[in-house]
Amino acid sequence: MSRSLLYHPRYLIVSTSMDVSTHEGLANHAESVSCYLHEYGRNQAFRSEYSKSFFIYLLAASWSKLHSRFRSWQALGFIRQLELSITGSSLEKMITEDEFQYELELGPGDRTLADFFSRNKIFLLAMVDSHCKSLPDEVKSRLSHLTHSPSGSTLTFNEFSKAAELARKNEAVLYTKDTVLDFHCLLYLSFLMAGNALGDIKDAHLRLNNHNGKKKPDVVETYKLAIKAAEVSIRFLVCMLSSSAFKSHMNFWTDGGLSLRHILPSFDRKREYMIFGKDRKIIGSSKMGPGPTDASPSYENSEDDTTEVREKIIEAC
Amino acid sequence: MLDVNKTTLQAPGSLLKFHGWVTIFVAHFLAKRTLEYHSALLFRASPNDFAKPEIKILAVDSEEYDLPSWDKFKRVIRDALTGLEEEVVKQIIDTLESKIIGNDISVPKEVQKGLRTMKQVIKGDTKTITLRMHCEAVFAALLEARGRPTDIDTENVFKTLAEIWKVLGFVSRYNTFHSYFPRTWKAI
Repeated sequence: MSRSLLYHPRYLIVSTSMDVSTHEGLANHAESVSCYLHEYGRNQAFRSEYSKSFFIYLLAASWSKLHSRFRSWQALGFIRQLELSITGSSLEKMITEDEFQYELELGPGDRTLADFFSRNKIFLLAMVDSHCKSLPDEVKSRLSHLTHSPSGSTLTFNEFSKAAELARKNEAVLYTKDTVLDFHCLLYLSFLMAGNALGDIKDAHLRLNNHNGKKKPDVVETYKLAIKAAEVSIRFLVCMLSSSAFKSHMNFWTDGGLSLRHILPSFDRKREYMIFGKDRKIIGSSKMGPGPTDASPSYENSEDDTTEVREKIIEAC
Repeated sequence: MLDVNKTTLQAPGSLLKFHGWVTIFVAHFLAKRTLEYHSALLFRASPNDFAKPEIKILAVDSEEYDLPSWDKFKRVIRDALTGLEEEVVKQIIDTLESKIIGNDISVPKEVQKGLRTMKQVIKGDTKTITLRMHCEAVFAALLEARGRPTDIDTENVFKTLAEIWKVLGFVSRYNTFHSYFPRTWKAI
């Protein structure tokens, strides 16, 4: 047991009964966040250790909200668009036809992404490999083609790996013409892995409450493991989305925003997105509503702030 | 590659908003990073005065609003269609009324609730509606209020807003806890 675990138990506990919907639960959560920030600030030597523990705590506290965002039709639509760009040939065409402009220096978040990828490369590639097994052959084969990996074997992301190693030493930028395709595939896979991981937590959580209020130790353990297992996937997605490479990629993919409309999720295709979410296991297997094949679809759907933002984007367009 | 005929989108602004939308998926963890950064910064600036941050919790309750009558709705529709002939406007209103009352339209499930409410308005069955503000909208309004130049001190701004929104509980200053151990958590 680490020193931090003994010294600061509050925010190191993954609780099965965390409920921020009550006044007391919310107050406890606020107290935990406050304690954490205080300890993080004043204990420089333990920051990394505390931060890791708090990441798990935060995941345990927020997975439900994250999952509801991931299984919304808007999010599924976006992930679907990422996949369609892989199965289509638009990205390759853009690289061939365009004058590729890229930053000359590493931007904020790039080195963090490069460092995370390099440190966890073996683990990430194993996870990618495992997820790819359940993808349709067409997607698998295109992923192999775009990342220059031998068909049928594990994806290697050699271009991105090389760039990440150089970026760690500040010797090269991360997002270049050579790494665009690897980056796009990794972006798609990072969403997929995070979505799957959140779906697994949801399934484990449903099983947790399925025993007449009694929490069986093995089911509790499965829930805890599901949260811990999601850590790397969520961290990877955080690194991807907070990198400057991601900003550059969005800029490239949407032609500087001019073709943004084509990748915006469309309400008319909601049914297609929901089927996609189920096929890609982002919507948990223990789902709580009629399936996408029912005559009158009624999905557990979160109409959250994403709708409003999308409307604003369309308005701006 | 840029084709001026392709579109007249306000591209950079839209892309920025879309980027913001995508990062919502990991907002909790981005907030963690930001808070950690500031925590470390504050400690470095003045280690002796470094204290636990105070976190204020605002809880917003549902509220009952008066529903405008169907006549008022019709007046708004007429005002919006000033360029059209009265006969056309009447036809639009009649069609809207008959479609809502007669359930004559196939709509997604999430729209049906809104239509049910409109049906009650048309029939005059209900005079009020209970709605709850979105927590993130409330939070954004707080930040907006805080950023505005004002003679009132920040604490009063918060209290005034809390009062306006019928705040259930104004719970603050949780740094009085003496123990790090949870009081109510049922830890695994």
